[in-house]
Amino acid sequence: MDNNQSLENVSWWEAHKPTKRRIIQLYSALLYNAHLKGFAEGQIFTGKSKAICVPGFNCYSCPGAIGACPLGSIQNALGSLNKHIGFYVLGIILLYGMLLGRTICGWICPLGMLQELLHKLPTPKLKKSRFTRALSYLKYIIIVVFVVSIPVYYGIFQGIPVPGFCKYICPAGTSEGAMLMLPKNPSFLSILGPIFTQKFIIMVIVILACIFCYRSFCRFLCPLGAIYGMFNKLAVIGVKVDTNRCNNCSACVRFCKMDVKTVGDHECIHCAQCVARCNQGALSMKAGNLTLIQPHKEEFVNTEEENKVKKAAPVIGCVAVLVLVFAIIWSNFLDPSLKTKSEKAAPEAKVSESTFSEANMDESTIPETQVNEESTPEAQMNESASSETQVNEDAASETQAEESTAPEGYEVGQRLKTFETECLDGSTFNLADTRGKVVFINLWATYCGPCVKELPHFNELFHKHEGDIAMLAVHANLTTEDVEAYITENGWDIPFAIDDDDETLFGIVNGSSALPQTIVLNRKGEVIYNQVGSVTPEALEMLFEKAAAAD
Amino acid sequence: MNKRTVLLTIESILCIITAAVLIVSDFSIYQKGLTARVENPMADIYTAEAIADKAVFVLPLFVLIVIVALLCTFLGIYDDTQDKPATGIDIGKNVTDTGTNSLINKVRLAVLALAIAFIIIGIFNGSMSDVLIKASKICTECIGLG
Repeated sequence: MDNNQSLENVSWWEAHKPTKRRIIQLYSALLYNAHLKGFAEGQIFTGKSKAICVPGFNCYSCPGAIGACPLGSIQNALGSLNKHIGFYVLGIILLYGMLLGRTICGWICPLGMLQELLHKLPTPKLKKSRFTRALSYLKYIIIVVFVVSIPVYYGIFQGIPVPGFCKYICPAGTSEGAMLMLPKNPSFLSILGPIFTQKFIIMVIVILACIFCYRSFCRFLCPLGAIYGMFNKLAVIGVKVDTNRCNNCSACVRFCKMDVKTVGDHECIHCAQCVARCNQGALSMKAGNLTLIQPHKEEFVNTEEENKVKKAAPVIGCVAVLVLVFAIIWSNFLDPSLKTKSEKAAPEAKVSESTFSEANMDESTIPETQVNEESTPEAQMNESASSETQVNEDAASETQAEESTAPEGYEVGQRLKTFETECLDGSTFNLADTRGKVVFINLWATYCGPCVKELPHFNELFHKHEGDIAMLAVHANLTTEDVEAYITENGWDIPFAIDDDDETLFGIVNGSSALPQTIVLNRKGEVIYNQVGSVTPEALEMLFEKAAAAD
Repeated sequence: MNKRTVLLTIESILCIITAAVLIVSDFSIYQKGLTARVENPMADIYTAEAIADKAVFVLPLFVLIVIVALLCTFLGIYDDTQDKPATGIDIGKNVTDTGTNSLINKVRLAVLALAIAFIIIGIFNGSMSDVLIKASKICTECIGLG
């Protein structure tokens, strides 16, 4: 119960029914995660709505998430300060902070709701004390170290994007992202290592702490709450004190489960439970001049304002339901990004019958450069206006069947479809021309830390086995950076391409929404490895040997 | 000891044991996986079999936690110490002379205007696109898959 009334005189249902605050918390959790299909498919939503940061703490790698996490976004923005200033995220956080402050934590944060539900488990509870209040300053240290220093240091000075809090601490990322993705993506198991172990342990400790201590994560660790807390006194919406009525009896603070010193200070989450505690009627939840939650005692109730809220409530409720229904329908059935995904899931439907192994083996003796020169005009003839990449449809007619009878696809043991793409250096990469060689295809992005860390190993491998290996690093289609300049700056000289708007290359190799991804083909063009996650230099060498040895 | 104390104690012990089992199991899978990886760099640290082996110990504990929680709910048992006022903490004064409302309103308006300006600049300087890009193609290590 929110108002902590005595349970003796109320029915079981009255004592346990969800409060308005709980309904709003559930509503916002559902709205943030309206892509319900994602939970069943284990695939994240990639629609345009992900450009909008939601106010609460909700990992954007959650399969249901239709918006971005402001904390993840601010870390990414800080990590790329040397490229451009993340005005958008700064503006969003300022806007949310000034309008709502930590009301977000109390009312529309899914993680806050989860913590409150965990706290309902019937165990002895740890009360707030001087110790918990001292511990509440830990989140400011976390901001400085993990949210600001690590992303800025690695991003600006090392050129590697590292969102420190997301990578090393965030239990929301582990529980909503990793844990919800794993059941539907069992291949992700093979990329689990020390980071997962560490974050899983942190997640378990946080969950345990939340059972015994009210909103432990919010109070001691959450950097987003700490940021919003800085705006708490100025926020438009929140619990406000009527200075004419308050007698500083401190009942509000003594009964509050958060580490507040005064109502509305940086620790207050504006849950409004104190409103019912105030015998003076000095507390109320306000949005500007409008009172949303009136003082508990009838003598202090402003009936005129109460009627205003009562009149507006059904309209707001209807709008909220319509918004939720629209979000669910749009994100599950109508968003254009879903079409791309379904096409990617069945690439056989959009590509020709041509496969790698059908290429003419006689041409294998032709030098690569010559093949490229020959294939370029052909590619130009078939090139569509929107795409630089195409499936080599004509190859089949020029070739004869080879010994491999593996079915076409992207799974291990299947033959990859041929394709041709223009590389950033102007050359053309044609998969059919790589026959007889081991092929490595790497999916990456400049903003992906592990991608950037592993690419030098690919570069090294390429030069070590030059002549016996073909390699293509495909950058994700969306980017705001000059990828070519980035590659030059790092001195990598393997063939690089950027995927087109339709994600043709990602579709052919079944590119995931998670990066990096490595695909290895043997000399016959059969996939021997197709895996999301970083690859060590040792593993790369082993993969090469395995692919080279395969008949 | 009364029924309330017994049930609350049992539930808390179950929670602690479950957490301990989860942590030890996780660490144990990781250690075994590391050993396997020394012999074969391509070996997986976490395997479905290893997780299933450990889940056998964890699942009964989860079930027990749920059963005891349901029992407590129907019996109306919970720890009510948090419904009592806290003692021994520093209390501030709600009513202080922190400034006039008009000044607060001016600051609010200024910050809101700044926020909107930042958002508009951000839409044009590419930082909004950055948010979309990074939320659409996620880095595995950033969500704990590494």
